[in-house]
Amino acid sequence: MDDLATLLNDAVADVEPTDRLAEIRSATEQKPHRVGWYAAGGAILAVAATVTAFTIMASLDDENADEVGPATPDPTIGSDTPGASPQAVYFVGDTSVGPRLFREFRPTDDGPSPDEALEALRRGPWDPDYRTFFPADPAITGVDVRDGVINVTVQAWVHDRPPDMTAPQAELALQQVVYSVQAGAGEPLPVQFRTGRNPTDTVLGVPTSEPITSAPPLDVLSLVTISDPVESLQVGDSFVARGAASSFEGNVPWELRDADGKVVRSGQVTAGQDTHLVEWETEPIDVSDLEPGQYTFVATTDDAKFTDTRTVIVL
Amino acid sequence: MRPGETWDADAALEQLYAAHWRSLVRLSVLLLRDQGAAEEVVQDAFVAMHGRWSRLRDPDKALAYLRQTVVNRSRSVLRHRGVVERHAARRAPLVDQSPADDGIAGARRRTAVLDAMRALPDRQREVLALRYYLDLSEAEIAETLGIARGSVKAHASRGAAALRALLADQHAEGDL
Repeated sequence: MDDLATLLNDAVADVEPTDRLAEIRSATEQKPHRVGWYAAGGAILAVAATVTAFTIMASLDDENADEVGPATPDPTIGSDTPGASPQAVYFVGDTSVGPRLFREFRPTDDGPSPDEALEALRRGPWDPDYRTFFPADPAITGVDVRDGVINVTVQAWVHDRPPDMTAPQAELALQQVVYSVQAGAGEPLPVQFRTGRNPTDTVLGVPTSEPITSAPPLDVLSLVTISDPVESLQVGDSFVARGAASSFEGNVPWELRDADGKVVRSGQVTAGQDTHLVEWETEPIDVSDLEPGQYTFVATTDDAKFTDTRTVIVL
Repeated sequence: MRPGETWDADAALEQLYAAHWRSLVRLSVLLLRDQGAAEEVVQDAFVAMHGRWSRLRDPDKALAYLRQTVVNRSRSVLRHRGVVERHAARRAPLVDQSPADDGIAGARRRTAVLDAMRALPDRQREVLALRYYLDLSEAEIAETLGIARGSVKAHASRGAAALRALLADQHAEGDL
């Protein structure tokens, strides 16, 4: 027991950090600005749009194909994820009917929990096409489940809707949190937003005196999402794609495009009927004869109104 | 003057910085193996703590918050970095990546311990650092990581066994 304490203390005994008090002081002198985070969100939105445009450009011009976007996924999760179930987390992406929620998964040590959901929200999306409407880092300070209610504690400055945020965006921002923490709790419990110990009457201008519930999936989710592959998954000979969709007659057409945008594989899976989102899964997609490089997996709804994409790296 | 009663955010920041800056950076180095990144993480944690002082108002709570923030942000850095490193390794698979050996036994041992820590799963690494470096109790670790005390115990015993095994392997290789 004691030897580990000695080892760990010794391992960092020669670490003498530089003095950063001045930097910390200068950072804390700036007063927090209520809409500052959303201005930052706007910048992120602009970056995401640029990345989308870039992805399209890259698919037309493979000289740029090696460049990578801001996503920071762990490409090792996927088919060989060991142990505990992953945590679902929801982010905002664009569709032909406006912004909707898309689902991503995160590996966990001990399975999903509201804390894992919060941590995933704070870290942000892996897919560069997604963004967040809710400033989870730093606005959410804690989450717990008591008496059948998920309590999400937020900072007081998210009380009002910032002037550059629309009411539908605010609603979607809250649903992003609701769907994510419900996935963490493992059941669709009502969500009470609080500041300190007390319920807060609004969050981003949306009434929250009473616990709120998840909106109907067909109203807030993208009607097609890809769960696997995760963004930038490295694949060898083949991979299986999975996701959820609500599409006419359950049809989910998919394509794998190379860096030039040329379709190198395509197919269609059936997800079930279109009254709610149904999980879908392809047969193994053989990529053993493809040149190594970056490809894009694309899944759409039958009417092509909803699309989700993932970058796949063939080794 | 009892600390906490009359401190404002700036005073709290200075006191906590004086008392804990070094140990928190060292904690983050144990998690990250990278002093520059560790300093960034801890600097951000102090800034975040300052912003929350109105609800912390207590040096013990503030220190708990600092620890938690340092652990969480270190984990984020590590996950991001893991991707970068794996991509880099994929691009240059034939490069010999054996670590530079400066010939000093102490430095080699430190590097070995930090390498072994990096090889552990996140939770095990965090539990070991909090328990054996910061000397926290099981309850404090459970609170810091937001996990059950039983999980702390399990991660600690698995982590300790894994760390010892990794160090024994390295030792054996070094003797060849």
